[in-house]
Amino acid sequence: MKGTYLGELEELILLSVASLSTEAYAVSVKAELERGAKRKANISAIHSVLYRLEAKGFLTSSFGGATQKRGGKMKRYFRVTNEGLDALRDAKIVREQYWRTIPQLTHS
Amino acid sequence: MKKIQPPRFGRWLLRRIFDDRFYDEISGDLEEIFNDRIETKGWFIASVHYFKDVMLSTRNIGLKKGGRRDNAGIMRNVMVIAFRALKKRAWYSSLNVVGLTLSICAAFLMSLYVVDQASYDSHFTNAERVYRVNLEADMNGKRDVYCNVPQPTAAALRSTYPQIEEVARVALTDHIGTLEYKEKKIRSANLVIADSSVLRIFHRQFLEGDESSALSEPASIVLSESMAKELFGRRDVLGERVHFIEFEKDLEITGVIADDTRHSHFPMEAIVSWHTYPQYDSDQWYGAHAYTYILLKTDTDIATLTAQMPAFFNRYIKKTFDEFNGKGKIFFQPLTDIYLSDELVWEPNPHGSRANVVALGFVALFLVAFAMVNYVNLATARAAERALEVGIRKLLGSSPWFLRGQFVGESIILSTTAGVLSLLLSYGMLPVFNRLSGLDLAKSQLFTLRVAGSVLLLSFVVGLVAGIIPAAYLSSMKTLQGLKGKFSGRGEILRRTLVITQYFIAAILVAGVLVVYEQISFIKNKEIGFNKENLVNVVVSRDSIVNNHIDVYAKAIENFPEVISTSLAYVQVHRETDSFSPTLQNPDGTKFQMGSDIIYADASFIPTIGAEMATGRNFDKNLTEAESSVLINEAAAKKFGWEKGPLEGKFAGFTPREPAMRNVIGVVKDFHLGVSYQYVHPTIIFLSQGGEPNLYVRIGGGDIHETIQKMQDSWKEHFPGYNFEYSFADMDLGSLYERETKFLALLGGFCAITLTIASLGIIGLISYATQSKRKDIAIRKVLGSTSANIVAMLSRKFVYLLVAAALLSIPAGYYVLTLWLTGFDYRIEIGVWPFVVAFLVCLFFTAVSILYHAVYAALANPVNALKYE
Repeated sequence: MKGTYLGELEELILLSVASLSTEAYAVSVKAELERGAKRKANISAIHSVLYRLEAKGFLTSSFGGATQKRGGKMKRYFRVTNEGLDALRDAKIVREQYWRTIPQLTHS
Repeated sequence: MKKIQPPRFGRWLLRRIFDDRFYDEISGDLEEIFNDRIETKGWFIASVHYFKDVMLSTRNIGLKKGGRRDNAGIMRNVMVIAFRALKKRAWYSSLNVVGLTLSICAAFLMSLYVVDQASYDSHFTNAERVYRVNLEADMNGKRDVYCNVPQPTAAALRSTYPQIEEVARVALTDHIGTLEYKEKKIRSANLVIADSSVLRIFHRQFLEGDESSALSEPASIVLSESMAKELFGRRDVLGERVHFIEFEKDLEITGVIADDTRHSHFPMEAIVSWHTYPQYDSDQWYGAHAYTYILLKTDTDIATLTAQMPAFFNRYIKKTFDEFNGKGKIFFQPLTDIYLSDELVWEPNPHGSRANVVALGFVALFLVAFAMVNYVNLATARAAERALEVGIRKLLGSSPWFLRGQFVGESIILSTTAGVLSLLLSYGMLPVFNRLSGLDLAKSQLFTLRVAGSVLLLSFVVGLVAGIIPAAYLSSMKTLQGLKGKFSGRGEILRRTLVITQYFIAAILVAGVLVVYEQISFIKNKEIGFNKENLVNVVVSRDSIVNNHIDVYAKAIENFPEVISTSLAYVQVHRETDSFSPTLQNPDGTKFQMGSDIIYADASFIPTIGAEMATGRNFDKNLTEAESSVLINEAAAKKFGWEKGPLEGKFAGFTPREPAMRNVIGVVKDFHLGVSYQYVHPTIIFLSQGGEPNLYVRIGGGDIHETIQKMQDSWKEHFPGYNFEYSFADMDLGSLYERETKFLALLGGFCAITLTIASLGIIGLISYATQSKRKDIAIRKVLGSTSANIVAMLSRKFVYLLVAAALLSIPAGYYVLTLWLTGFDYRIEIGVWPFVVAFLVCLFFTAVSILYHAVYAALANPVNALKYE
């Protein structure tokens, strides 16, 4: 395992999952990412990240919610684990520390 | 909303990518997105995105985890190694890609042409149940197969045979139909007069009006949308009236049909109801023919109906035919077969050529085969080079299947790359191709998901098939042999056969291009018995004013110094004329009947077109001889058995019932009407005036443009408001050979591609040969061999192969080309020279291909090759 740090897309997706609470699955995460972060990502990239985050232990998943639109196929719902929340918090702290060391941030 | 499934192929692929644990959720996600996109962007775009998603999903291939073998990892490894192998041999790889691209592109364009030509009429609903009624007639030994039949046939068929669901008669208006609305006139060559049932046989979409009743009333017309827009500027023109100029009749528009861009052997743009012209309802059982189509009921058999036709003929037609001492036979031709069949007498439009379509189809297949052959060739030639790699892999426990997979993988990478490139290339080549083939394919219509998909599929299959032979060959290698780098000898015969095959076909194509070119220039320059230069055909529209006063105009322009003579003729020099079956009288007074062509013209026709008299004299200028004299041509004199004294023969009547004695006053030297490669038919020329003539004008040299201008000015004075339209006889005649000319251009194009591909194959082989003989060459040089010797040594083998191929190509090429030439009565003899030239051309291409490598190898410093020893 590469360690527990988060890549940029990983972080955004983790945040999306967190903000979607019980409604997070690949398609809704993709929509949320487009809405909230103005990021377009292919569904396969979302899958790739979600499964990786799950493997890292930041997400857990459960099945449910087949609809006709999906050809009756199940969704895999993701939830952020405690480790996931810790990782997000760590990432935020790292950033805030840096922000504090920058005396005055303006466009030059 | 109806649930739309995403493309099956995509789902199938997903199934391959993911195992059961992930397939459901991931394919569900993709399907959900697909359905979202359908709503916003439509099915097509959604499908494209769906495929993109599927393709990109391959990145998650590693999700297959658990007990099973890690296939994904192996696949990735195969791909990586394949890419490395291809990169390492960039020169070979690019040769292969170029060859594959050219041939796939050519084969793709070719198949577009073939599909286009083969799809005529097949778009009509019920096309498979529609047949045209044809008549084979033998009148006194003059055998003609007509594609139209006596007019009462349709009704008689319909009432006699219950298995016929519908019949329709169609008549053409001499290929000219001018409609007028207010000041606007448009002319359509596709204006027909037809029974109301015609649109139930040739289904067309009605935009305005009622399909079932549109053509039932007299004086009604159904127009295509574009004609309506051109005349009225709008589509809703029901109830408007247009004037049909040639027939001087007002017609009411009772329907507007959608334009039909798909091909038909009988395109119809405007249809006038049959009952508009009671005089068309002839009850004659010979002559006065109409194109007749039948629609069979479902589950009935055309063979049964055909078997009943002799009885039908005897009941209705035989009596009439007996008067002409004729025999006949009614038969049916499937609608979809018509366009590529031989043309019968009176075809409404020229046909395509089945022979050309089949020939080009074969060329396309050959091209693909070549590309594969080249790949196999290069790959097996490289065997020694890769022996070490294969040996080590085997030693490390690689299974033969893994090795096979690797080699097939390489070839698939190459071929699909070529597939993509060839799509791009065809996209760029499309305008050129359209011009050559006479097709009108739009880029958008070409690059649909389906077409692009099938090209990629084709390239994939090519890669798969071409990869199998080297894969089997290389993986069968013994481990130790491989490690020692000794692996050669086998495959040499195969490679030679493959090279010979390519040259064999290339040589046939080159010879073919030469022979076709020779034949075309032969028929274009053939002596046609009259002077086609400086002969102008002025179009006389069937308008009563122009038609009735054209003689005045002809007299007027005859006074111009630039105009040598004018003639009003009832034939056109670029069209075959009609035929009939006259009664003739021998000098000894016995009578007989004989099929013959018929020409009506004025007395100046023969001198104006520049035909010559063989014996006797032409008609007198004054028309007193119209009832007493005829001219015949030499072919007629011969066929009638009058060579000794043609002027003693007599024309004795059009039918045996109506004797009308006329003397033969002269014999005209044979001249061709229509194509020059058919035998001149026996022809009788009658003096005539009135009716619907064509005006031919013989002009002197000098400034042709100015002469035409003067003729036009005079036309404007005589017929104000009528357009002056004219054409030159030599151009009219030239357009007759358009089909052959285009065939030549296509053949030439593919010949060039074949040569290129064959050359690529040669380049591959020679560069391999020089590589593997580097040390051989170096040692020879050290021992005193000259560079010329070495080049000769390297090239010799290829020249032998070439000679063998050229020798084989002579009988095969001779056979194929003779077949093609049998379509022409007058044809060239195939000499030796096309084959000699073909050999030289191939030799030249070989020389160019091998020389660089051979010379490079021969000039190289021997030390470089030997220093590692």
